Amino acid sequence: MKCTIHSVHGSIMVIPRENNMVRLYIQIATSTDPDFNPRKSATVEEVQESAKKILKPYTIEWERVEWYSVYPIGQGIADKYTLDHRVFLGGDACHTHSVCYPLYDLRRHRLTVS
Amino acid sequence: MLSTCLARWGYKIKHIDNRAEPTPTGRADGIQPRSLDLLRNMGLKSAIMAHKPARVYEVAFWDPPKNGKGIVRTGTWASCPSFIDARYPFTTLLHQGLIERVFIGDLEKNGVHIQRPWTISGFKSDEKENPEYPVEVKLDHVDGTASETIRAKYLFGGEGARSFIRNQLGIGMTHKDPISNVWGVMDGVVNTDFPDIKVSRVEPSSSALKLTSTR
Repeated sequence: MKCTIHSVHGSIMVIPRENNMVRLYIQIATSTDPDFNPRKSATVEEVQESAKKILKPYTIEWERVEWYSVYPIGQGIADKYTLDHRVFLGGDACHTHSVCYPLYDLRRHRLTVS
Repeated sequence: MLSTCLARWGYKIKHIDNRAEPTPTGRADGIQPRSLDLLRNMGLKSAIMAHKPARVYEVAFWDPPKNGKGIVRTGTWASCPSFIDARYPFTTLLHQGLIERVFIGDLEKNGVHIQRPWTISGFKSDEKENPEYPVEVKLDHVDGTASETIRAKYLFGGEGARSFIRNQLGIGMTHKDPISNVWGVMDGVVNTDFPDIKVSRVEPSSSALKLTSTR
């Protein structure tokens, strides 16, 4: 089960992983914030604190952190994928989106059909 | 994926990667249903499924309740709804390094060894100067100890969001949704009473349930 969680404190996505691990995507900042900085970083502890706030009334504690990263991302598309049909771009080099956009789309669809 | 296809069709390719090793941990981890269809058609699906990836069939949505604090589950939805005509109606979750290794193994079967850790430092493309091999590419070892210049028919850049090739070509990115986000992503083992992180075992020694993912 994958979860997408929206609370007044922010958003999280939860995804199961191998070896009894879970992956949490935690929104640290959004460009609608008055003081938005796309270079904003956060420590493991800060991110865990925001996750705890978002998940309330439930609780969460980490036994072990295997991997952690912070990255800014927007939904963008390159103006061209090639200029001369000799040199080409693919993947994130020419289109990016947040991990949650597909889920937002899913939700929009669900709301319109139900 | 592109290199794997080209190598199978017998094209002579050079594939470089600026990382010293295949991805050891973290990074991307999902294969969408349609992509799994493609991997099946290429005969690579069983090598990926041999790693026993998680299969996610459902997405749960949690939101603040209308009146009150906290969060409540407001619905669930198939992660691959029936209107998507896919053979395998689930998302496959597996660490990127294991997926990469399946492709690397197939490339090696076809005589292609990934050259790493190497990076691109320049290129030009001129069909008038050299109609057969119009693309000239300069490659460097990441520690600067070696470099080479090669000629090719085509150059493909899959070097990520900060693509050197895109920048050199002066191709801009258009952001259709003006909202961008900063995300923290964390893989780990947790103790939680949040019900949608699946229970795989109960630790009798702990007052909290040991809640982890199931594979």
